[in-house]
Amino acid sequence: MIHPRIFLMPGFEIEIIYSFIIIVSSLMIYFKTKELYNLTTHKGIKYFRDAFLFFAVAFFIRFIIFFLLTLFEASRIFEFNPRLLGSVSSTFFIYTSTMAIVYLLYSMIWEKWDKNSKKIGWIHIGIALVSAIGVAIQSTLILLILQCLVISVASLIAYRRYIQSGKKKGVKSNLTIYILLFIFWVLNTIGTLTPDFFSTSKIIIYLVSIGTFLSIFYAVIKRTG
Amino acid sequence: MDKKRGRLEIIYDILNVINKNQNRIKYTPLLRKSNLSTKRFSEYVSELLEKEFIKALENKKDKYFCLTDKGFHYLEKYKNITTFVEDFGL
Repeated sequence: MIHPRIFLMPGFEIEIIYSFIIIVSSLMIYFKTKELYNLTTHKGIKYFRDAFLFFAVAFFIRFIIFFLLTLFEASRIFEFNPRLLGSVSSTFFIYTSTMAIVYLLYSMIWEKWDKNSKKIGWIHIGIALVSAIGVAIQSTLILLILQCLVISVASLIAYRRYIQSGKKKGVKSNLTIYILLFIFWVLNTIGTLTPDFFSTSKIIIYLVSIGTFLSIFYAVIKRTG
Repeated sequence: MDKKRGRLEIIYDILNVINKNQNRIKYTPLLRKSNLSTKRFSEYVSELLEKEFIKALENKKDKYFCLTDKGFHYLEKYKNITTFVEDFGL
């Protein structure tokens, strides 16, 4: 049974609302693009959808982590070991969040990379291993460097596409959204792995993150009709 | 010289040829108007039949192709599809 004091924890309501909005907007993007994918079986659309599915899962796990951390002091009321469960959920969070970014990157480069269909499978295994090792040795730095690397490459590719498109307006707005998403994804990861890091500016980061996801959702709706 | 057509555009062109031909066209004129090699055309037609974008109608003499509802839907959505793919850099 959950102790009633969880609902009195400061920021608990904000976490619920924040997680809910991100999860729902990510899932809406996933389902809104289903028709386009079914019509085309376009791999770029597939990976784009997978990215948002992983975003939704990552935020769900992120919420679970917060839930466990909040309950940490009340661990005596649980029969399980919350530290172990925290480590497992952290590994899953890092794995899913990194895979979300990887899928977003992959959606842009699949034409050159997808000749070997097993490649994405190996990436899954590699990211899962790195996530598990990172959590086991408690080195969040490795994971942040990994995510920053993927984010940097994706941002550069998005920028190159923007230049190649002749600085088309639609591509520019999406480039901006991508860059914002990437930056705030890293901030969110830092915030999740080190809960005290953003104690003062957390709400601003949450608002901008929500704004970013809703912007992508709007951009998707506008284009899918 | 025209830019090389992508897969989505080729599918659109094939479906559009059928549609503009009163939704009924024989194999050979469709091949000619699609501007593809015989091998590639056969691959695309097989894919479109398999995905039920088109259906083959046969009478005693000839075999015709016509669009299904799904094929018409692709034509309607084509602009959305290309805008989406282009804007998100997919």
